[in-house]
Amino acid sequence: MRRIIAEDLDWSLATVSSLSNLCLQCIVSNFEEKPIYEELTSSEKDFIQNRVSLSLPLHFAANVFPDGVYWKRRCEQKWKVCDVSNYGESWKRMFFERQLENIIELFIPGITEPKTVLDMVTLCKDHIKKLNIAQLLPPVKEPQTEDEEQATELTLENEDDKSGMDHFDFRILLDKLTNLEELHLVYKVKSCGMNFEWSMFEMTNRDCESLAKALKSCKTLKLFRLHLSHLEDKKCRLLVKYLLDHPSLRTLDFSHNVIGDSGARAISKLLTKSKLEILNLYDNNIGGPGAKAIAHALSKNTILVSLNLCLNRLSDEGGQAICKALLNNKTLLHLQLGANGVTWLTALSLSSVLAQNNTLKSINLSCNTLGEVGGNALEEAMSHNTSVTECNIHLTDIEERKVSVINQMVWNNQFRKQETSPREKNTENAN
Amino acid sequence: MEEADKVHEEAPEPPVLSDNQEDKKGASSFKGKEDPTEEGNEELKTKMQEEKKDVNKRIMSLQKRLTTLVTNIQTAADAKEMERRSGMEDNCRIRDERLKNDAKACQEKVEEIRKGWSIVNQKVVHSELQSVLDSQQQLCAAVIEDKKKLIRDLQQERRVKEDQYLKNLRRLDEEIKLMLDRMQQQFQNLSKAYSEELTQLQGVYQQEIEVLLAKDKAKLDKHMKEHWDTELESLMERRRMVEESEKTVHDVMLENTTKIKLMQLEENAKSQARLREQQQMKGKSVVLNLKQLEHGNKNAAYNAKLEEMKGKILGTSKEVKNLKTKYAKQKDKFMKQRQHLSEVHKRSRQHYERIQKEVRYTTAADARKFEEMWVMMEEEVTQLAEKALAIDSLICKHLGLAWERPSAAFMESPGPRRSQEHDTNPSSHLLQTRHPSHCSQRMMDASVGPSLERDSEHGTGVEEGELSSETLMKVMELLCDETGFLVEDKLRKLLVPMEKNEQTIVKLHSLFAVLGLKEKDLPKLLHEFLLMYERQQGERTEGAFVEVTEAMENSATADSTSRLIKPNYVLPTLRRFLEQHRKRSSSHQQSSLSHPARDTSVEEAYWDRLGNIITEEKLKLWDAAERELKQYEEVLMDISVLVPETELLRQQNTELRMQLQQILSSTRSSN
Repeated sequence: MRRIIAEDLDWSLATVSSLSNLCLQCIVSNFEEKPIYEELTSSEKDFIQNRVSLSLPLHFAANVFPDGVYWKRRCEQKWKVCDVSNYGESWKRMFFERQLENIIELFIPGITEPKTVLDMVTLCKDHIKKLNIAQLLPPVKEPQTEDEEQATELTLENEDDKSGMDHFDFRILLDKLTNLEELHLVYKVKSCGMNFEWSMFEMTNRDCESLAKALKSCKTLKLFRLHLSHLEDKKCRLLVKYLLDHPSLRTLDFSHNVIGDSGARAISKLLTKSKLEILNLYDNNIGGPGAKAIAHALSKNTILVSLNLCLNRLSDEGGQAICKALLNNKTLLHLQLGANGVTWLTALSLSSVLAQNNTLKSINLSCNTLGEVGGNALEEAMSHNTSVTECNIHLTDIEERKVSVINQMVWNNQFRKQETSPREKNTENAN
Repeated sequence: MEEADKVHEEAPEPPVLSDNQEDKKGASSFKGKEDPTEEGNEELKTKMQEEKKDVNKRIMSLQKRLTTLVTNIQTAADAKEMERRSGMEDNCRIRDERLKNDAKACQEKVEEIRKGWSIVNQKVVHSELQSVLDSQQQLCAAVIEDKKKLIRDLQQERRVKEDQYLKNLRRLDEEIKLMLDRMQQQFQNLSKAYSEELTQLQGVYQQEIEVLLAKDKAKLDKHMKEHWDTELESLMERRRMVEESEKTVHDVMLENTTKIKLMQLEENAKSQARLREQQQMKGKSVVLNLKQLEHGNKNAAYNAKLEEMKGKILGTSKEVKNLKTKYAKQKDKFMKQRQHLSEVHKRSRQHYERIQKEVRYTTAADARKFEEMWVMMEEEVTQLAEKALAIDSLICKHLGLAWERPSAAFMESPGPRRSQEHDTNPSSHLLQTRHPSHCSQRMMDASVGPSLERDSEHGTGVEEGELSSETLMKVMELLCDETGFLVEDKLRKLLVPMEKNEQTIVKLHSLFAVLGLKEKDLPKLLHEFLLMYERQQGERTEGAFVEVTEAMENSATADSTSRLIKPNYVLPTLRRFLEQHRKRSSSHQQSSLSHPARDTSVEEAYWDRLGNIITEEKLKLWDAAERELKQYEEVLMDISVLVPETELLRQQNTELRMQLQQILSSTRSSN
């Protein structure tokens, strides 16, 4: 040993790792040619996951490595911010979901090969549960000079043009993702700059149809969110038509669109014919008639838990209708009617509901001019009610004193609930 | 809008402060309440619960504050949006009204212009027309002006809106920044509040703990005091006990020491008495020792001698042992050698027997071969003789001499050997088939036979019947007595107690064994003896051993009943018999090996006859005839040489004759 040290100055006992480590190192360096993984012990697997090159081809790595350190390393290599808690604590799921989102967001119809998406889908179809697509690029516009040259085929050209503006077709994707539960979509282009066009921020009719069909084909979907996409009545009707009798859909979110009364009517039909639990129509264009339709559906519905109609144009007509519907409904827990231009009339009918109904938990009537009368009615109703734990009546022209009184009552309700729940827990523990 | 925002934005802050104040109050109230906790446990428990409730409340309020802020901001945003919407609607309405008004005004003016055009149609005068046209133009210009104005207004409005929008965007940006700052602040505030809350809670709990600690300490002190008291009491008691016990121990010790001293004194006295006795004993023992020493010297000498002897004995015994072992070894060795040698002996014997067999077989085979050869030769010779005779006859015929066959009978008869063969064939067969020993015995018998016969011829008096058992026994006894020196002493000793007959038999057996004879030779021997006796008698008469015979006669006369040989002659006869026997046995062996002797004389005669079948005379005759014949042959040869010459000449003659005739004929014709 002494001689070895004397001859080789760099030699030291410390740098010689154990044979098993050397073997593992060898496996790591030749992993692509000869993947030895399943037969190793857990600690050895960790070793390999920590060392294996991140440039392994995805189709290879996806089949070999389960969720673990390897995917964490790949995620952290690719993105700066990685919050695994949003992905069910699964790094692999996070990697594949974000990877697929990236591919779809950068998908340019007509230029990008659909095969790239499909290849990815075959790899990750088992891992993807949620897709949050923040942009959808339109196809590249052809120069208009060509259109003028082919003026003879104008009609055909127009049709082609329309189809040419279509976005990514979800039909090729959704029926293959067998575990997809959430889908968030926005038809918009990020950081478009001076190239802004309204068409960039809305979906075409064909888009709508293909999306509707795709949604129908995806039997596992639980949450569908289509926001900020300039969704009109017509398209809304189309989507809803395909979503009727969807087996698994529980949450529907059409916030920040331009749905009007006819769209609201379609949605009210959906309420009767599906298992929706949460409906979000925040910031739309629904007026009194639409609200009436929804109220009619609500009076018969026994599934819906949350209804958000903030920032619409319900006015007293719609507000009163909905409040009346609540007299027959015992399942709705959350009702949001903020910023709808309702007045003390609605407040009166709501207070009559609150006096009876003991299921409603949270109410939002903010930004409505309820006035003194409404405030008095609500105060009166709240004194009889024990279930409401949240009540937002900011900016409603109610007196500050009454607001605080109502808040105090709500606070008491909440406190009582807090009190009872731990006691129950205690008794349970005692038992 | 801004005002509302401000109002709203300020709104969340006061509650925080108030809450904080409340918290502080709460904390102080706790502090106030903590004082009486020392009074009792029950009160403490209830207070603890209350405290817990308060803590819960506070935590809930803190949680609520987090969400209220967000909801407030959201509602503010909603309100803003509402305002924006209503503003937009207002603007739209105003614009619509304005456009409508404008449209109406335009309509009126257009109507006016239309009316003007009808007037223009009515007017004919140029100046009027001109004025009307001017007015119309003015009206049109006014309309255009109005429109332009409207457009300008709208454009200005748009510009203003744009500016507003930009400003709005900027303000939003600022607001967002502000919001962020606020959030940061809020965050800090909240964290501060939480940390304060935490410290307060910690303080509360710490105080509580201190109180409890103090209480526990007091309790502990009390308990300890009691404990110490009891301990002290018990210790005191123990001390007393110890003192008492010490006293008793001291007393006991004193008593013991006195007792021990007394005991010691007694013991001393006893020991002194014993010492005295011992000394006496010593004196006695000294005397005894002196005596013993004398004895001891003698004993030592004896002992030394004894030891020497013992040593010697031991040495010898060792030697004996060694020798014994050696002997055993040697014995083993010899035994082994013996075994080995016996095996070798056996093997050599077997080998010898085998060789004998082979020799016998080969001799037999040779004999046969020889005989066959002989026969063949004989045949060939006879054939040759026949041939010679045939040639002789031919020669005789040729010479014209009368030829007679010499002794045809002899010629026809086969050779002596062949005829002999015919006779001996069965015996030879027997020889071959029978067992060698058997065969040899037979041979022996055959050879002995004639002698016996001869003997019987000589000794007619001696018959089988005469050889009674008695005489035989007597002879045997005689033999034994005379040859007693040959019998071993040991055997003789052993035989003493036996009967006479048995003795003789045993002696005979041993004798035979010594002489190398077999029992079957016994009768022969006896015969020999008897014969010898007879012969002796015969010889006596011839006068060879006159004296002896006389003596024998005397003896014979003396015991005429027994015609036995004299004991004096027993030994010579025995020797002779033995010599004979040996010769015979050797001759037996020879005869068994060689063929029966051939009759050479007959064969010689036979062969001679065959050789002389062509007599000397005849040979002379043959020679003469040969000579003659040779001469004749020469003559014949000459003739044979001359014959072709004569032939040639004859031919020439004929040819010449032919030629002559031809010539003659030709001449004749010519003529």
